[in-house]
Amino acid sequence: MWLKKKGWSLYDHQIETLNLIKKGFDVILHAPTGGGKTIGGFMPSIDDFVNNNYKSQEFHTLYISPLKALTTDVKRNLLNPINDLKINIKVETRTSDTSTYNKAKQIKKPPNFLMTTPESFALLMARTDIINLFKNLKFVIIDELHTFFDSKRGHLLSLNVARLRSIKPFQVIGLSATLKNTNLAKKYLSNNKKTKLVSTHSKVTPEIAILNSGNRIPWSGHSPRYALSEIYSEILKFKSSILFVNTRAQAEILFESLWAINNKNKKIAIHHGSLEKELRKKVEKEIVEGHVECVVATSSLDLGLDWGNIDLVMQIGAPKGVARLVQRIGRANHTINTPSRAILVPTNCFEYVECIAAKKCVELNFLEDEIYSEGSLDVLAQHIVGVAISQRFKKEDLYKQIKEAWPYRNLKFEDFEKTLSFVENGGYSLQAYEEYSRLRRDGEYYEIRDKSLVTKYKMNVGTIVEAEMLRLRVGNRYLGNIEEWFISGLSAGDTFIFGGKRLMFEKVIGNIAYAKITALEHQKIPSFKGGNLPLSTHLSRTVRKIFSKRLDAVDLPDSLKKWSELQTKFSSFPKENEFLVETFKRKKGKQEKYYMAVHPFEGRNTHQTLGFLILRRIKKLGVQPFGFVANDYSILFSFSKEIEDIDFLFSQDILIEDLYEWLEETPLIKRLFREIAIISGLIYKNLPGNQKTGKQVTFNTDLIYEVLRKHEPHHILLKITTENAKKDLVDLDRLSTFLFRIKNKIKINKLNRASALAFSLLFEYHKETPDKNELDNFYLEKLENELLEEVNAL
Amino acid sequence: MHYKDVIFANKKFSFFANGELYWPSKKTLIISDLHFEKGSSFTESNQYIPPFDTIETLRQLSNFIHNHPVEKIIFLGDLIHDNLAFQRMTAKSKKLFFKILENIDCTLTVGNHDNISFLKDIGLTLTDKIVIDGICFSHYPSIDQRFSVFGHYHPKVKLIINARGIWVACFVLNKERILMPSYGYYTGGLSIKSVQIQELFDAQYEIFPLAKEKIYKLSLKK
Repeated sequence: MWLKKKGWSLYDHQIETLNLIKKGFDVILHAPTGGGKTIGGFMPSIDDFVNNNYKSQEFHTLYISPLKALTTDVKRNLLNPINDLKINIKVETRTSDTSTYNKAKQIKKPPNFLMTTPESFALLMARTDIINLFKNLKFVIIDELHTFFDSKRGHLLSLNVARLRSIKPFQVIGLSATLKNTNLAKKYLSNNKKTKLVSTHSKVTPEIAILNSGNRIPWSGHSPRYALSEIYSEILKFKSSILFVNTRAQAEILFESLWAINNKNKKIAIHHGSLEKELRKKVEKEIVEGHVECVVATSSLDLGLDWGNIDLVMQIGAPKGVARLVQRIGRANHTINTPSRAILVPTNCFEYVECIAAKKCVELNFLEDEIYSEGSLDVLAQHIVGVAISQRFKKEDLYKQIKEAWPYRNLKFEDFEKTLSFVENGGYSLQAYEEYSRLRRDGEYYEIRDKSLVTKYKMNVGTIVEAEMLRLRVGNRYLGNIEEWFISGLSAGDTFIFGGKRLMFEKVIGNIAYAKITALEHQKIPSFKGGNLPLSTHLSRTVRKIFSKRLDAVDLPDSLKKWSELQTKFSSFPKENEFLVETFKRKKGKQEKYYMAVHPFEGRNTHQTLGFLILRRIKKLGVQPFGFVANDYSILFSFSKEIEDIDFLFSQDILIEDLYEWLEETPLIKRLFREIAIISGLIYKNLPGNQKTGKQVTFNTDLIYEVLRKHEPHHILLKITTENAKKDLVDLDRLSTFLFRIKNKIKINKLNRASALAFSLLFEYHKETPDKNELDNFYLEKLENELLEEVNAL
Repeated sequence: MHYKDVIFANKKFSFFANGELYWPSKKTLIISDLHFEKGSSFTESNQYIPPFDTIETLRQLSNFIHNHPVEKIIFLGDLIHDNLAFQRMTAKSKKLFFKILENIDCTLTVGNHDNISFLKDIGLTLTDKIVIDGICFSHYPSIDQRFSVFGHYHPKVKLIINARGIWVACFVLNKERILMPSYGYYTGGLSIKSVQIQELFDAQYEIFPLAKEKIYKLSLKK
């Protein structure tokens, strides 16, 4: 066999994958990072090529990855063995970075292996010549498979894979380093077909330590400043390291603080998703080449690139999820038989406990189940346009084909028809736009009305809708993208940091924010929403368990012991399955404020929702609420007078009822609607001609949402919005489970002062306001009560 | 309906929270920039925006007329969004609009979106401007009259409340000018900080932001 001849040493899992594919199965290859997974995935392709003398200029294998960077990286890694074997396989990438010229060339003379992303794949599938193009396709490889289970990108991918399958049968190989629920993974990969799993585990568990700082761990906040010198000395010990943080704001602050003490001139860089692409690429390249020794990064570096030369991973701030931590730790030491080394740096007492929980879970290999979501109909609408552009279709045939995509296996015909009618001309009951419709019917067939649709589709394909962003320009350079709402809160002369630079805001023109470099202190930090991941259910359960043991059982640093003792002395720790509510009052000047601290440990998202619901309840009791603040562990409310009936506040039935009412009104749902309006193609974000003017979405989707609710309450887009909201906005399942769990288990501690647990939130309460985006209504009321002349309006 | 009274050119006017300007002593209603059928105009680029903006705008107008004595309406221009607006308008909207035209004396001071050939003979008085008691009503600010009420710019203002900006439509007022908010449901806006609007208002002016069915008042100095 060719493999033996070359004297390669192969992993068992690679051989097993090859054998299963030869027997005709689809395969999921589940192996830890650094375990030869990628080569394993391509082995059947290479083998097939060696055994059969293929003529070139035909698509043979399609590789799809969630990351553009990964396509280039995998191509590079693959070229070594291919050159080694002296076989003539042409490998190319096709992403949004590929030039139009090269894309056209790839169609004329197709490469054998094509590396692409779900979006570029969708665009390829919208071509009219796909039947001919893919007539000799043998394999599709999907990398980082787990990232597709619960995302709209995954829905889009599954639809296109199903369609390609109906055109030309092929075998699929899924690759992943972290998989728990392998049964569902198999189904996602190839619905209704037999899929085999090849799984191999690392022989070694990662070595995880929690950073031991001599300084007091803060009770609140998210700053690693207390441990800065220890972090720095750890960096110095290793040749190359990644410091993972949870938000872009943390990245900016940590980066700046490290440089302030960097007397050894360690080469430290910063990497996050808002930075300009070129800047990110430069950093990535410098890490590979060893020019950068330490990089402060957000989840933008979670996935992908095999560097192999990282010696240390530090997680600054709470890990939030076990699988996520494992993935991050895996970035260090990309070889299968040596342990990865990681240091966790909690930034407050709560996080310390979370770190203990996470460490324990990793050591026991106790990972979260992946979440699988039902196929979203906005993605389906986009897909239908793509299909129509490619080929005319019959309604029933398309329905059957779509149901072959596993996320859409339960799609009701009625919903499919509504989506189709939406694609045709908006799907309004009064049939207003019939004569201007997008699709035209020819007997049983649906086809596009005119070719102008093709450009619009191409310019708007994809499922990732970002917040309204402005490009940030300093001098004649672009530094990256920054949230519109952050900039809108700045006045000329305000300072902020971005990409590690101190900047002074000047002005906004069109969609560009201008700033200049400054030496001034007192920056505002863009508090990006993006990185704020919620605590996983799994980890929250473990944290609760640790708390219920009153922390006696675990080895704690002194400052944490003190914290724990104070909590026990003045209040108590919640027992397992007990729900702790603490009440106390504080006097500030003449005003007395009542507070209620509750500790569900259910993650920030759930707490935000719960917070708003409870706020409404408090109002119904005739008490004036002042507001609330929530973190991953607790919620703190403040109001005007004492509340007697606390059980009433948390009664399950009423709260769920309130939830639906609240959902309809919250500005959050409008943000969600905007995303759905764009993905589904109700409005186009990019139109031919708009790019020159820099115009973005021209339409205020809030208005559309309101008018739809009033005139077409059963419109398909509203249905999609509600479905999405239940899952993503409020995590309805988690909230209901929580409310059910605490039934009759509420423990109320009436205190004279804030407890140790409540303190961290009390601090945050006075430092920052709760989610600003949500509070439009609240503040408008406030606005009315205050002297308007005092509002800084311009 | 929430409103605020103002004195302009020594006369009493009311600014209403939906963007109506009402002159009680003349029983006259002034509204600006309705942009009928802006929503359906997007079909041109295959965007099928819910076609309910015209009916929403008209219902709001009818509602106002129902609740206040109105003998005259001045539309301050840009009544229709494009030439084919009436062609696309639903029967329901047309019925409502023509009923208003039948019962009330309506004048349109023609704006840049209004093509006269599509607005003739429907019961509208068409003119460039109308001057009542020394106050000029027109789509653009008046060049020769001291007191001018006009639209065209769709003014909006960003209220910065707890570090977050909310954009809302507004009236802008000084001693000699009133800039009207746009009345159409889907209409966007131009910041009052823009050069175009700033040029029109001197050192002392007031803005009246419209938010959540209320109207507010902010005094501003340059």
